[in-house]
Amino acid sequence: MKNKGQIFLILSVIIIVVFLLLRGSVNLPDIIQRQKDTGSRFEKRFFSNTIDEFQKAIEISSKYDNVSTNIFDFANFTRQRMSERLNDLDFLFVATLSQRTGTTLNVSAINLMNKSINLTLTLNSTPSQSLNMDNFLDRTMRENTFTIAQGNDYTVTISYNSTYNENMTFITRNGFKYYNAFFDITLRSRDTSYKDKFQRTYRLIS
Amino acid sequence: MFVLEVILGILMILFIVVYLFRNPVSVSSSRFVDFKIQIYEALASLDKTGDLRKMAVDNNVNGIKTDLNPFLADLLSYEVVIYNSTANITNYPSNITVQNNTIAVSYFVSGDLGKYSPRDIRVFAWGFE
Repeated sequence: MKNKGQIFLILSVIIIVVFLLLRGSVNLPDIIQRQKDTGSRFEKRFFSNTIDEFQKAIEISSKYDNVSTNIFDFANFTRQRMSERLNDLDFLFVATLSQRTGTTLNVSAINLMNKSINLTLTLNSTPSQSLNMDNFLDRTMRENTFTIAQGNDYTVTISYNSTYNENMTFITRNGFKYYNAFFDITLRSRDTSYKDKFQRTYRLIS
Repeated sequence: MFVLEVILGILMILFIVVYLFRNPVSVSSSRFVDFKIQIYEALASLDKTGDLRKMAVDNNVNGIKTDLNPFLADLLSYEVVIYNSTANITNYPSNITVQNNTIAVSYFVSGDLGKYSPRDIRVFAWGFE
């Protein structure tokens, strides 16, 4: 009876060992992985809807001249709505707009990368032209122009933070208004993330 | 001494129980995801017909609910709320209760036919076990 306290402690240890064995018999990492896979089945659909909708936003806006403004608004909308669901969006967007006539190429860039970046756009004209956008703040859009000759094909090299280089090729044709868009989108949730980079050309009717 | 050892033993067991079961393993979550996918696919089907966009831009919640009926009515109780970037722009029905067995599915639309007007169509569903 003198050792009743120690017996109680030994019993406690035995109970703890039983708990640990029971818990160990359930393959916890496997269950967690299965839960993540299950969750990501839905997230992939939701992310696909989001990416499709960025492209539809351009098509919907194609009658108007404010396409990039709408994309900027839709990116902010998406990030705001996603943040309520504890999801996040990184978004870099570069677009060029060649008019039906003239030598002006409008350029717009949108940064929603969750950080400031140094972005450089270089057009392979002769001579080449560059736009340096240093300290390009998150949640901002910048617009500028290049000079082009109608009828030529061009490439804009998009580079930022010295580590990232992407080429966007596009055509210009007299009488046609082309909107060329480059998307770099990363969507993240607790269970999964999805990254996509793509380029599309749209013929505007405005 | 005896009381001290009993307290120590109970604390050890409590600590291990809390540590081991702080993230309870739910095996039923896949069913919730199946329902979410079903709701998403229903919304995507309506989107393909073009009706969903028009109703969302018009804030026509009743129209969306009616069109979702053939897909969901037998399975779930549900309500639809439409949001702009910051807040709900249609009524938030009082029968939506945020609890463990309520799920919410978002579907974004950027507008409809020449009208840029972004919407988050959110379907809240419950009533499954």
